[in-house]
Amino acid sequence: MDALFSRNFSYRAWFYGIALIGVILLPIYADISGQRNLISFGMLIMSFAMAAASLNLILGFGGMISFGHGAYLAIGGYTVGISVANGYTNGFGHLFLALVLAAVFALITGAISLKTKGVYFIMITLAFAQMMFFGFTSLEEYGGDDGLIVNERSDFGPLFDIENDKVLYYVMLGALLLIVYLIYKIVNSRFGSVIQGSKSNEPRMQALGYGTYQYRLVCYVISGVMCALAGVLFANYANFVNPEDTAWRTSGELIFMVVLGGMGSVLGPVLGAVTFFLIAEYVGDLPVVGIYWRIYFGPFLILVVLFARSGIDGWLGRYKISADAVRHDLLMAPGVKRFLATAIDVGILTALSWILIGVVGLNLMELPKEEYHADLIMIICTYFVFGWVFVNHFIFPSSYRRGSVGKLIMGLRIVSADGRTMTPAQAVQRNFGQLLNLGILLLGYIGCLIDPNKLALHDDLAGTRVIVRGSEDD
Amino acid sequence: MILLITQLINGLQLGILLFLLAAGLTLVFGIMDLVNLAHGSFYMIGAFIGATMAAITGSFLVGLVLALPLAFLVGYIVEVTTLRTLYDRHHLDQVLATFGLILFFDTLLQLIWGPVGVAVVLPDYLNGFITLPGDIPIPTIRLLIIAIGLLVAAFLYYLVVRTKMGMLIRAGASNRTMAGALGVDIKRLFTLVFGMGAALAGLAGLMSTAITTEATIGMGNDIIIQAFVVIVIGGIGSIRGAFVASIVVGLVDTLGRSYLDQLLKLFITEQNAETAAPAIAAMLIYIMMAAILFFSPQGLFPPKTR
Repeated sequence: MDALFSRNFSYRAWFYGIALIGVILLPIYADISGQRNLISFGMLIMSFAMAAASLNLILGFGGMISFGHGAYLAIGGYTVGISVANGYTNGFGHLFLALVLAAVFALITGAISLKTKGVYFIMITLAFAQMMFFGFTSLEEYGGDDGLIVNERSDFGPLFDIENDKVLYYVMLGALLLIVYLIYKIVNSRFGSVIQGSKSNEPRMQALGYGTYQYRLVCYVISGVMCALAGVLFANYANFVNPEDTAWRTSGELIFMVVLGGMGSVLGPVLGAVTFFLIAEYVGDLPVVGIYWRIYFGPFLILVVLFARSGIDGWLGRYKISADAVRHDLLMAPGVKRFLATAIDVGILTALSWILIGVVGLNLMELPKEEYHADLIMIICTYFVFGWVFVNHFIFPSSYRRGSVGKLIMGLRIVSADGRTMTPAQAVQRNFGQLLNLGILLLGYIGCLIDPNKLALHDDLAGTRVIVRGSEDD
Repeated sequence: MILLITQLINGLQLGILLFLLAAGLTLVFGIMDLVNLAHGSFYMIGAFIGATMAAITGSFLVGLVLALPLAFLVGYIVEVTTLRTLYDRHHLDQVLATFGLILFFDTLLQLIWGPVGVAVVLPDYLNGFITLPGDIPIPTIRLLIIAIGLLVAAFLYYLVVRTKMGMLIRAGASNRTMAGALGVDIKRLFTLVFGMGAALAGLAGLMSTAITTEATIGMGNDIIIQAFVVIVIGGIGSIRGAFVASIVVGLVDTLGRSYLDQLLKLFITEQNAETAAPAIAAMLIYIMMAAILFFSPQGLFPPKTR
């Protein structure tokens, strides 16, 4: 195989391996650089990663679309909060109580919900979460609407003194790895096969003699208990529990993390949670438009649903093209032309953002806000920039044009390895590969120079070739 | 007694608002098999546009009349640009994509109108009371809402049961493919129905501001859940079910909030009743929904096909 690395090379394994080392070293880096907030940011992400992973067990593997998973987060959190408020700080006690309560709640609501199917299931899980929401907001002596401040962290003895942020960080990391490992074991067990089988064809599983209802119910309870564990740790990290966690926005965001990361992949939801919070944090911190980050996030979510259903975890694997279909007669583009093409694309983008955001936007910001809606115009400007990126790097390459403007000018085309136009999924994966490239300091471009097929990392991932125009025609 | 009648009227009025929302929702759900969480956004958009129109023209009723076509237009645009691509998708995709629409619209309206919202000023003739026999004062606006809602219900009934378009809607609901094969332009029908649902939601939103006196960001996000409760209880796709269920939900919710504590006092101590009552009252409609789904998993008036 003439790819960048051998055929068996797995980007996925390398990516997760390096990421794990990074996560383990993060507190040390935070100490050295003095950015202590990195540790709490990491803990925030990990608690939601646990919740999303647990949701994935029923959503991705079991096909049960629960729109009320935030309730378990809150059950775990409120168990800690209410216990501490009453002077009971034993961490093992908190854990035991939270998991038992979550199991009971999951058992009761699951037994009712799983009687229904499809939309009715979505709505009934949502209804149960709403009930919890109103239940928690009515706890006047425990904060009511405003949420409850947890004065003290759970006491797990001197060995795990989680009053120390760094210890809590590693405890959370351990819990996250444990949950991921458990889910991996469950999914690959006989039990997991029944769950996945009833997702793809329930009547057949029943015909084989499996009581799919019971299997689903057990799976639902396991998932809820895992999420409650995330809630216990989250309350300890944040020193605060909020009834909003049960509200449907949290549950919706959890579903999105699962889908963004990759449904039905064990580690996908973890990646989804990381990406979600990185986007929220990065875009939310931008000047002027930052507080309106959801106006970008909403359409982004829709685009992910429409075009990127395989999720980030899916993009880490090679796009599958059958070996017979791969064309070996394509004329690969020379490195210089590729470089120039990229330079043109980057140049256009820089010029566009400079004119729209730098000149137009910033000048408008000077005008009185009430009269000119300066922030609205600023957002429209940024929309044009994002829209251009979308058109130039997604719509154009996956349409009959077969290339971004820079490539078209240089007489190059991007095609799938079988000589056809890229599918939208390939285009998404290719762009993701380019982002990954940026993350590893453009190392992925080395392939353009040394590989016989001039495959950069993103070409190898998406199964695409950059070729000289016309060489793909028969 | 006066309190009871007032609360009955309030419950009826909440039920009517829910019906206006649920009617569009259940049609979209039943015909197109689309879970549209963003239906609450039309409720909010209708309220903001209507309130602004009312402020410009100086008349609430003109705002009410103008809000209808404008909400229809917004619904039309959303259907053609986004939702049309979602009909053949899995429910999960629909839930997520329309969740994205909610985030978008909530922020967009905040950008345009600011975080505070728009105040609604009612004209004097709507602000007063009408005295029923027995000296029971009822706010005029609540009666107006009930009257408009009943008119809409009658109109919808006529539309769906008596007209050609209603026949096509029912045909589309029971078998999309067959109706399309028989030459019905299903796509255009969908767009029309969707726009109509959006207009009704907008109408409901504006009328609700007449009571709360302001249009606020995210006002649709709570009531949309109640509207979903309504259509699930009523049976997805059934307008009749939606009507019955919305009145029931409106009454149960309102009466629960005002009388549950007294009811509970019969069973438990006074103090416990006062603490538990508000929580249980807020949960009441969800408990009702769970109970109904447990015994009849497809709601009270289940769809005949599918």
